[in-house]
Amino acid sequence: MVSRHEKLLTYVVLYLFALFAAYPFISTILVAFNAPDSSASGLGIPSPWSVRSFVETWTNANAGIGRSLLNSLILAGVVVPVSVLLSIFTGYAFGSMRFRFSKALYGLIIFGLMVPYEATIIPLYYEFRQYGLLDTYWAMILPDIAGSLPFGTFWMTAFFRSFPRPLLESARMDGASRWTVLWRVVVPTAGAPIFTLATILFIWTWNNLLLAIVMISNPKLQMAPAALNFFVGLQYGSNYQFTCAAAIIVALPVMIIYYLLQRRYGSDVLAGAVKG
Amino acid sequence: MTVAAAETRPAPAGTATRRTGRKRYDGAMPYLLVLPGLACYALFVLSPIVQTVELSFQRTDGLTTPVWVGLRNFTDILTDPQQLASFAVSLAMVFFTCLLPVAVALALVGLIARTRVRGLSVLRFLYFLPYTVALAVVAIAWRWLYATDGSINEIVGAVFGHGAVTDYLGNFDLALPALGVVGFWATFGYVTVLLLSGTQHVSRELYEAARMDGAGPLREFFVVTLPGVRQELRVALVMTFIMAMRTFDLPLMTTSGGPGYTTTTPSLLMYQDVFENGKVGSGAAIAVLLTLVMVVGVVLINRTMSAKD
Repeated sequence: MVSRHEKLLTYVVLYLFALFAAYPFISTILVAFNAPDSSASGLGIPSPWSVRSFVETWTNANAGIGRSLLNSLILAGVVVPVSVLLSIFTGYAFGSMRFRFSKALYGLIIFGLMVPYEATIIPLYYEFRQYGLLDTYWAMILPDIAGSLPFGTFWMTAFFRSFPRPLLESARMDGASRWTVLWRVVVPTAGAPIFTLATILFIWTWNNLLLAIVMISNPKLQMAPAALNFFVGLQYGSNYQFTCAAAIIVALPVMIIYYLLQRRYGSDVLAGAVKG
Repeated sequence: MTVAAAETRPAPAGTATRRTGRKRYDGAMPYLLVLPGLACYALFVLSPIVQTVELSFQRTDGLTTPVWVGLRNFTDILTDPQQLASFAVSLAMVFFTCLLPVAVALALVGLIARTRVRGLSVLRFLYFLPYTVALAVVAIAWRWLYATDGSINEIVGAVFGHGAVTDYLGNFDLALPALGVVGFWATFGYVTVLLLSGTQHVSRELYEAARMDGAGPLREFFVVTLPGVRQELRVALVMTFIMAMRTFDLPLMTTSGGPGYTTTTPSLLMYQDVFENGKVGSGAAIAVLLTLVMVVGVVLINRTMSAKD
């Protein structure tokens, strides 16, 4: 048995780290609730509480924070479903079928897990410029889907490998085609892994700054993290009420999705499913 | 669809399902399934990598005709202390964003594994939160924490007097460790939650057995907990190593790589070379070097972690 003494120490250590994790959020939220013209201080509780910094950040035409949320939502709304669908296909093939070169092809795609956007973005930029695709959604959508595929393939292949083989085979015995098996037998039971994959890809797509600042220069098409970067560069850069309000607005959609996901499946699903 | 339909019957050799030796192949369907993903990946990942390698052997500003310069870009980088230093910066970030969080997470998981901790789901939620928000958001939050009138300086000032107030991000010696702390903050919870999910399939009997044998906390950790989370540990090391090597958003939005070049990472250097200074070949060479370091690092991590089998 563990001594009371040790138990107490464990709780103190664990909650100190929890406080460390939460503290920047608390500090950011507190400063954002100060009025724009008040002098905020580091630990101070805003007095009076004011949402004017949020309102002014949201409505500031130069910053375009609101518009950037919409842009990022459109981007993720295309990238995530398409990437998940393509990953279900590749995962189904690599995880449950035998075919020539399957090992080599799987290795080729998994290699992409180690390839940073840095290694592809320069030629992509010049190519998109040549075809007039800079400053369009395509310049974000295409590299994001391709960049999501290695992880998606890895994830869904692991899922299909662990899927009970007898279930696949008995359905096939009943005369169902592989296509039917996929949609009628496998996918309906794969809610958790598919939803988790979708969330991870959503977070990555939403948070991708490098691609967004390279491919998009038109303020109207700015993605959310790039809008934040742009916002810091404006005269508000050192007005922390505004920058922190903007950061909260940008972080909120992802945090809501994370909250819903972990409520439904527990928070280690995002980190988990690592058995390759 | 027709392929799929043709496959439904257990077909004799020669049709969709072929027999080669003892292996049964699944005909054309897997290729059709892989094709769309692979095509997209080939067009927007594989082909650009090849082009980046090509560019790294050229001198070009992206507008004029490129000149082939062989290995010149690489030798220039490897003999320039300033550019080499960017790789040292990313290695420092590997310490702060990968090694340190893994060490701390292991300690936390070791503690949790010994006790039945109540409220673990709340802890998990809080720990994981930093990892979900964009690094651009993280950068803004920490700019405020580190600001001269921000809360860290307010605490420091209250404890050590006003003279101790420091502009952490503008200080030559402190800027990199200050970013390192941010990196640590962003990943330690992710690693902890990941390792925790690994301890769930370590059976409690193993702990009981270890205790019956008179194992102390340390021995228990090395004999029971650590082996149980090896797979998760490998993933955590790889993911955070990649993240650390690619550090870009944080310095871009907090220090712009300064003061001096003390927080300039390879990614930032590449971005500045290509998109601000028109040194496309040089930027491509940095990207190639960065990718090589990352591939070698990931292979090494995988080797070390599976050697323990």
